[in-house]
Amino acid sequence: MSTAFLSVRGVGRHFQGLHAVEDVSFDVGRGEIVSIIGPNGAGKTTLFNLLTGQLAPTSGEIRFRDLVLNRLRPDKRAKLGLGRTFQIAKPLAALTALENAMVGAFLHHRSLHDAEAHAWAKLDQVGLRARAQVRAGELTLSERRRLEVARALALEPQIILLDEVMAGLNPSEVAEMIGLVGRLNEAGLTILIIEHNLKVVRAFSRRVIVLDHGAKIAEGDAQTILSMPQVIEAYLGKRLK
Amino acid sequence: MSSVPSTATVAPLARSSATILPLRRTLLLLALGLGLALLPLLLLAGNRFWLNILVYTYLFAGLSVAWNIIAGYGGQFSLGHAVFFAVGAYMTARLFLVWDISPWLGFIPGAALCALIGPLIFWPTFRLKGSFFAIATLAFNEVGLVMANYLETLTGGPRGLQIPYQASLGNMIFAHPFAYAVLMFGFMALCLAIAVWVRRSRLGYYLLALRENEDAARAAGIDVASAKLRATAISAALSATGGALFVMYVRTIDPPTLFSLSDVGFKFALLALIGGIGTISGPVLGAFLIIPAESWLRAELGGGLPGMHLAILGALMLLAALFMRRGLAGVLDSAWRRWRGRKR
Repeated sequence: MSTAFLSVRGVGRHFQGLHAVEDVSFDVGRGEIVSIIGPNGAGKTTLFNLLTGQLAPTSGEIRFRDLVLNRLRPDKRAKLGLGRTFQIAKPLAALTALENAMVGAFLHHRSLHDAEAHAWAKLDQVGLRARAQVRAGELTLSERRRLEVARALALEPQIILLDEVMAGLNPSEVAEMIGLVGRLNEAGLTILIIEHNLKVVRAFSRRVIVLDHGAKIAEGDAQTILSMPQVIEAYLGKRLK
Repeated sequence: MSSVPSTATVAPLARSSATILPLRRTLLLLALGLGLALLPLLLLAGNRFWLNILVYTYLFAGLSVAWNIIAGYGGQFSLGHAVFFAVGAYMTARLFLVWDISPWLGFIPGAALCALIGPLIFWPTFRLKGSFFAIATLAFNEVGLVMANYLETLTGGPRGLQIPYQASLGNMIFAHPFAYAVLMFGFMALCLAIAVWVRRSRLGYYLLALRENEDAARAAGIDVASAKLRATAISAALSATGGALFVMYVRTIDPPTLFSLSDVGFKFALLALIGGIGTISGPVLGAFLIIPAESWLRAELGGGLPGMHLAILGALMLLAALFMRRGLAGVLDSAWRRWRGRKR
């Protein structure tokens, strides 16, 4: 019996012959912030899709608050308290930023009025208040990323999965986003984050999980992990002999 | 099963403007719009030719508003709504002819049936996206036509059904088209009120969200299938109600009339596309432009060049698709924004 908040046991996903994720196990405790790193194609996003239900695992078990999630649809998982952002931001382009956040807020607030009030609060949190009435399709990349976070936060999740929310942002926007994620975590939100930018990983992570070719190859604190030879090898390739 | 990971995006069929108005302003706009739509009725009260056109304008405005709930808000471009229209028409006519049930009550079973069978027949097709969904629903139209021809005991088969002329309020049969115009206006107002209510409800937001991106909608806790089915039920029930009113107006129906693509199935979509799909006012604007124009064209060209009015309507639709992506409502919306921008 594990006491972990989110527990992943031997999870795998095959696409015919391709083992996108294989036998991955790890735990995330309540209030923790954990990073998942790995080179392109390592299976990070596939792993996220398994956790949020966009894909069903072909093996293993995913538990969240001691419920087995394996066969649960994404919307049911969202109701249980799992929020996510997408690597390629999926703004609801024809809707305004406010309405995007409202779509999330409706999960726990039935009335238009409540959902709107709640959505405003989330836009404030990510710094999009001034852009609330702009259609999401017209927002900048950085604003879209923040809007994704706002929509996920509007679900009032217990854990949020952030898929490369820093990708494509300039250094000052990255710093802003790091600040936002840090504040969310301090407020008690459990965070699982996929990140490429090692500077970002160092900024938070007490704990880092490294994926390569679909398998977990290392887990530990950022400092140790980033100096491990097999991690460097996965990122940069083998040293020439 | 789930094939491609989340990176696959679905191109939405339509874009619409969307800002939340306070309820009071929405109701004010609705009342204003209805008042405007009522004007021609008062002006043309004596003219039978124009009243007849107005009857169709109101009726099809209502039907297109109903279609727009699932097709515009939800992005599920149905070309099979004629089935609901026909079920409503046949049920009401049959109940009236066999058991002498007043259409004022007789429309209810048809609407209820469509609220049930609509979701049921759309259920398997909702897996399809965009044009594939449209093509599949088009097949419903053809199946409906074949069944209407075949099920003679219910539909009268190819000979159709005739409702004898017995004018009375209880029979919903009136001597003067003015009464029908009032009736159809009421239907349009009902459809609009329901469309406004849906648009401002959680369901409305969920429909817009799933139209824009189903993956994002699911991740936001939306039960996509349930939202589509609920919207279909509402849309189908209103379409059946429109069918019921239609049959009491024309008093003679047969399968080719009810399942005609150019006059029924496509028409709902055409009006909404030209007026502004996914907007509240769009389908009504479309109806007020197209239905009178069509009747006029048919009257002008009908003798010499049969079918020419369809060619002209087709060209209009093409032009709207090329140059007016957000329809008349979109053009008006942009003009309004520009005007307000200049005022500031």
